[in-house]
Amino acid sequence: MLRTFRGPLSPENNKKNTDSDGGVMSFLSRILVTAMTLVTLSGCSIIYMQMGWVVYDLTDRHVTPYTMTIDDVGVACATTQGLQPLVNAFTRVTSTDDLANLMMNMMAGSCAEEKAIEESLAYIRAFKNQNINEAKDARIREKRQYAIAATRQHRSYQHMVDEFGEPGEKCPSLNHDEGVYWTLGNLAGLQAVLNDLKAQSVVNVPKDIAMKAVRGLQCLDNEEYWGIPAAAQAGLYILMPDTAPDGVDPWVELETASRTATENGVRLAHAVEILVADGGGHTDRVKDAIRRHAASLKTNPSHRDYRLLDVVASRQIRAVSDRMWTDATGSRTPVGEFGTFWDDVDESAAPAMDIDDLLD
Amino acid sequence: MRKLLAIAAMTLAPFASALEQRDICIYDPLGTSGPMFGLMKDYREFALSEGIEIKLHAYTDEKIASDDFKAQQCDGVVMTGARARPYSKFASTIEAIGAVPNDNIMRQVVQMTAAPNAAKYVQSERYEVGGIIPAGAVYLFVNDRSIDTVEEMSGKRIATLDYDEPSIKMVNHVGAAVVPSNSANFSGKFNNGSVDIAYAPAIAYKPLEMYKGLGDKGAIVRYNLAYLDFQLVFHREKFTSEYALKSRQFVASLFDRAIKSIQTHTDEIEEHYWLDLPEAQEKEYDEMLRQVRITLRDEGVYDGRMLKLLKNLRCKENPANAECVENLE
Repeated sequence: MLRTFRGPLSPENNKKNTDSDGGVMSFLSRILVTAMTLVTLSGCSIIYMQMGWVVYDLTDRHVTPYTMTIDDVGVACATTQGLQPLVNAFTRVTSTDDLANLMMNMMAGSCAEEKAIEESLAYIRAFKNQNINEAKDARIREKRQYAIAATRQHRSYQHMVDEFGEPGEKCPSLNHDEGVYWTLGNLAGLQAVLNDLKAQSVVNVPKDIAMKAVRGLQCLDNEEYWGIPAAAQAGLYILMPDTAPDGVDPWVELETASRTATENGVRLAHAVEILVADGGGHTDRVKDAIRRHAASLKTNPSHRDYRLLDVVASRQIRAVSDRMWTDATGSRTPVGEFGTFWDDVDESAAPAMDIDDLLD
Repeated sequence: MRKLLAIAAMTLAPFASALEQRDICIYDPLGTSGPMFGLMKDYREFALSEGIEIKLHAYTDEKIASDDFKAQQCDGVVMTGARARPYSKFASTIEAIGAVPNDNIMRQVVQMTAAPNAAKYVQSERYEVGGIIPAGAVYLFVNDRSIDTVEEMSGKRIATLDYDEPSIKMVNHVGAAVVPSNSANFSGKFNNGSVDIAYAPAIAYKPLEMYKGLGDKGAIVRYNLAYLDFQLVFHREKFTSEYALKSRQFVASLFDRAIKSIQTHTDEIEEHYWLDLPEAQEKEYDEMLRQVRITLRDEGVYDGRMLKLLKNLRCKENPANAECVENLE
């Protein structure tokens, strides 16, 4: 399209017309060029617009739901980050696709978070090796990645607000799929606040998003959304114990929410449980929850429509395990040992019987 | 000879890199994700350069952090100045009511306490302060703008930190009703209307949604009731005096970073919520708080030396203050 448009206006063409046909031809050609330009321009706009809506629709109906079914985080990171400019370029002729952007930014945020976690492991290793310069540098790299993660996750939350309104006061009317986006948008908001704090608050994500998001999640049915509403509420009760109703043990609530998540095959509530326990320094609870999570992976497969969410949750949990292992041993969770810990009693190490008894 | 030296170097090598291990308990309402925990992660690098490997333990309950420190579960602790009173009366008096009116005076007191000749003031028999981190001015949050005088506060319900003796004294002094609270529930009480007044630093405003309690009629009085800080306290037998001094100096070097964060949080407060007191009324507050400080000093709650230091700093900044003539602190 652009090539046809530019052709008649190129200096060579103008020169040729003037030389052979004189002023009249030049005048006619100018009219022709103007007319062609107008037709071509409006034609392109129509085509772009139509194409834009096709992309919009395709992204919402197929790309996003398909991406949620894949279990390869690397592919999901590449897809969501690579697709963003393409999908958003069409917003110049269509309107912003908030749902796609919510999902893409949430995922891109998780990808930056993974990089931040890598840097945090590098920090621990450098620290253990008493390499102060490397430890400092790794810490700076970690904060930078957390800032990128927080920025993306905050964007994801904002797209949710643009689509459904601000959480915390009123509940929007949502069908199941919209509820999934609402869940992800609110979780992205929570993560944006936490990751900004880890980034030394350079992004300045409004901190009240955390409370709003927890309330927003309460709009959803706990069973239908994999125990996340209950897990988020229990997490808040733990941070602010006096807000818990009498007789409610938030730790029990968290465990119950995690069971719901296991049964549904979307274990985001496991991640909430572990992050809450880890945040409060409850090492034994963290270990117990990681063990339960790892065991559940063997018994309960991921929900086929939301494999990606399950895998992302599991990667977040593995990151906590990696940090604990690195703190204790200098390297991350060994292959095949997710759900175990360095100080577990190794029963296979001690012989069941004394060799001398058998040789007597 | 060279061989001998090489053998000696190889033998000594493991000892050269051996680090002393220490545990520090950190109170941060947000645990390992919180800003104080993050700051202490950076502190670890400093400690490492001094040959100490520090292990950090997050606590979301300040009382438990303090209790664990007291029970020697940790060698150091980070907690608010008000909680640190049993460990250093001198340093915790920085949080004395109305004693630090602005960041500049806070900066000076932090720098001074980090100077070598200040060590004797921040050491006690068993404990030593290893650093002071500012957390910002404490403001009065009222659910009605008309509560702007001491008389207006009389009879009102105030969310009061029940472990903080000066707070209770102050609330009683103005004739208001103490509603026992803690850092985890005071905002809920203010937001749901169970109390009329709360006091908090700007850092609490957004995360705890205190604008809900302020509503359309409420206000934040632009007057520093006290200056909140976090203090790093050591068991003295676990850290050398040299290290503690360097620690105070390192923490003092983080002052600007902390102030920047405080400023960001203060800027988040919508302008229309601020309530500026008329000068005469501000003076009235100054005088009332001074009287309470003197009473608390005489009762042994506040350290007279710190009060005197802060008064001198205030008078240096503003020699025309009435308190500068009377010299009661």
